[in-house]
Amino acid sequence: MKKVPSEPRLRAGSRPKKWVIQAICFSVFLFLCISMQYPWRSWIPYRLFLDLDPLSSLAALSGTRQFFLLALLMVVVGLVWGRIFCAYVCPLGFCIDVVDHGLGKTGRRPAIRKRPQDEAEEGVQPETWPEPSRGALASSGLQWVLLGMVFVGLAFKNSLPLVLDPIGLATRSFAVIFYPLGIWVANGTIGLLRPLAEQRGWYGLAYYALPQPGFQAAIGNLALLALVLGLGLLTRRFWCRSLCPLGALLGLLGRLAPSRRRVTAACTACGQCQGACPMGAIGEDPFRTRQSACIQCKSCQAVCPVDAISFSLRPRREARYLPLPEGLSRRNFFFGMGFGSMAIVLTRLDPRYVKKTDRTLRPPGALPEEDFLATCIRCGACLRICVTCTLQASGMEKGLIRWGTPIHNMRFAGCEQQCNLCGKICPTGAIRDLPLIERQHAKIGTAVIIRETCVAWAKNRLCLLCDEACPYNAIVFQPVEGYKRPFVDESRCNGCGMCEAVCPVNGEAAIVVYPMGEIRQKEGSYKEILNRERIFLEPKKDLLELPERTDGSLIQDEGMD
Amino acid sequence: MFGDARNLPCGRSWSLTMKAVSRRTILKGALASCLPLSFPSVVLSRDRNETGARPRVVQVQGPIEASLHILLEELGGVSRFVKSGDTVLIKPNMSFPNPSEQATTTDPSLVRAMARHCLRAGAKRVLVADHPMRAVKLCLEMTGMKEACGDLPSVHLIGASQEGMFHQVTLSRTKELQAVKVLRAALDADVQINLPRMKSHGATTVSLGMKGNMGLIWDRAIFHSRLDLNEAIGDLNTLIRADLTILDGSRALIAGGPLGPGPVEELGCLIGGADPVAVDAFGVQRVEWYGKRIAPDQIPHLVACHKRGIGEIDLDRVDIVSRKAPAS
Repeated sequence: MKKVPSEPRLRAGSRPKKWVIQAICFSVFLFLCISMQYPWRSWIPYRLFLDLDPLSSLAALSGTRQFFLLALLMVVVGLVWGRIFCAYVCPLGFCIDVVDHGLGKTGRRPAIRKRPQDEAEEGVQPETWPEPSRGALASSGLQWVLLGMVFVGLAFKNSLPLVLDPIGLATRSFAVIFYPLGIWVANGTIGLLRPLAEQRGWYGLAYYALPQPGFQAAIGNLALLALVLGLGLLTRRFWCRSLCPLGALLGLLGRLAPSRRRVTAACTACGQCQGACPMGAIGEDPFRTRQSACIQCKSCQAVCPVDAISFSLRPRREARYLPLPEGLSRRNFFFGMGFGSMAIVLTRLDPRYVKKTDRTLRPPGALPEEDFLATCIRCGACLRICVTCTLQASGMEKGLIRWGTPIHNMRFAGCEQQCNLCGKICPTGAIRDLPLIERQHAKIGTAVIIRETCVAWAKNRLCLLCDEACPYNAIVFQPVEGYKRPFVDESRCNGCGMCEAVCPVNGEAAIVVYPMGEIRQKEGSYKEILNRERIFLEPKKDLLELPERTDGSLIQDEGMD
Repeated sequence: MFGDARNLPCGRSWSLTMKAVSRRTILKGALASCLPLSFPSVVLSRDRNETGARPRVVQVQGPIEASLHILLEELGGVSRFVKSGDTVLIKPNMSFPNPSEQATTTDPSLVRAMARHCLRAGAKRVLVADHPMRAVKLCLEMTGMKEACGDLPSVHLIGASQEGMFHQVTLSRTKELQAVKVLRAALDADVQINLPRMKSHGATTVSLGMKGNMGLIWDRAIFHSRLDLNEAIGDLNTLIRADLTILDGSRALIAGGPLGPGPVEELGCLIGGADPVAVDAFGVQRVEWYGKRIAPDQIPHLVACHKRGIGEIDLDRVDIVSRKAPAS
């Protein structure tokens, strides 16, 4: 009988509580998400969590941002401590813990069959255990299939599976769900206080308001988040143990990790650790741990009545054959991968992708569509930081392959000429980090006037809102049939959509930005291209013909009825 | 005319404010007590100091701060407009996130200097307000307004962005514009000072003081789509009338306005006066717009304002004073 030496270790009470560290990490995450706004502050590490994520760094390999130091750090941590990130740092993990707690899913103690004492020695247990009934779905090994799909997707230039990356999911959920709601509440509160503030002369408060964002894909994201959190009804941390692709990756890295749970012979097989483990990492046999599920939260250590459990950095005693990750047969894995790969290929065969049947407008500096879809991890950071909220998460309408990627809704708001923050924040370089002058030359598309609905064309009104809003002076008014009528000077139009946003026509605007003429390139200067194509965004002589004076009467009025 | 007492812009008791004769008081008195409906609304907002006399327009050439000083002196000092304890509304153009060099927004140093003059004259507070067309945060920052006015005490920089900051006012004597949502701070202020940038405008040819007042209302789109733009500007100005208008002519955007980019002419002057139409009229003929000399009566919205008795459009009936400020 091998005797595992008991070693000095911190008692549960003397180390900082797990939830304190979690709350601190989550607060940092929240702070970074909230501070993702104009103006850009170089001292804030906005992308900290996204940069930590090795999966997003994999996607970034096909982008333009090449910063992998933090992701490498995560890999090293994973190799040494396994899934410790999931227990302490992951913002989604914290949310899941909180929700699980609310659902009353903590500390369940299933009845444990007592094992004969002679089997209590380490290393002689069978390879597999019968699974507890509630965990049947939880241990189906879906996470390995999802992780596999991330790799297959990246190989096929399709980063769609990364919508399930927990960091991206948390960032996107904050951006499109919680931040807009928070602003709505804050502005509403200020609105209620406004009469009082005016009366007291608190003008700073009375006229304070935050720009209200809103996202067309918010409900879809809310449903996804509700699903992820609601799975806690089945088992604690259901998402983490059986779906999360990042968790699967860290678990895979940590299979040989020296930091692992160790049980001494003092164990009485009381089963408390099995009940306490949020990940279901301790099976029937309390001496064994599923390393790829263990998040090193030490819940088991805290509940052990005989102090038989310890976590320590010690290389594995015996070099052993590594079986497939727990909970997955080879057959199931390939079955799942087959369907997953089919799905990935099918999204690329979608006519909306193949032929671009949609008016899909990408932010200035976005990579060519194929590279963009390989690189964009759909984290929603650009949506969050966009000053006008023109950037929206695509829903299903542009094809599943574009789900969650940023698209412009120019009718809602135009793309600000003086802002290049989406490129600055993008963690993978799917949107290039462009200096302002380059951003202004990165052509998003071209505006087209629909004369049938334009009030200046169809109703002879003196409406020049599009001209007033155009930062590039691309709307030109010329007299036609005695009326001033707008034209778009294509050689000056950036496609920023300010015109489409302000057009007073009810419903669909009478001036619409189409992606024609868009410039998408992985490298090189947009300004040079425009200059080559004789497209100028500098001041020029105005084409407006002013009427000659006729004894005080006004030619401009002549056209009005 | 103005509807009834429910139109009061805020919860403050109107009867207590009747002691001081101010625009706000007059406006509120009208709102609250429903004065005889035959009383034209224009009379309510007539300049309290200049009725009867020939309006005066002052043009000062030179650096902004020194020019402003001389300009105010020529108009009788800032104390003619701002009384001790007044709430002053300064309405610059900060509609776009462009630096002053592009001549699409008012120079922040002019706004700062004006605010300081008001404070020195005893103003209780100065509200620097506009309803920007672009992202408010960017506008306040990139125009330089935040930097220029941020450190002044009792000066509040207001970039309106919410409908709740505006108050619905009904106009009954007007033809084109029946009701409009006006910035509550504008209704609340005792004195209104308009500091527009001199610039061209695609629809109205020029955008000076009269057009600039569209920065104090909520829904501007209907001016273009539903209403006759020029007549509606005239109607709007019967409701909002600046006590003092100073055109920022340090630079003028002579074509490609209102947002540019376009040719900028370095005029280096300020043009001011208490009669807003006369100031605009002088501004119109001060430079060539779109490469053409334009007379004030060729600008339909100025004519519309003149017809409503807001001010004098005929420069022959205006006293024009030209001064030069010493270069510092």
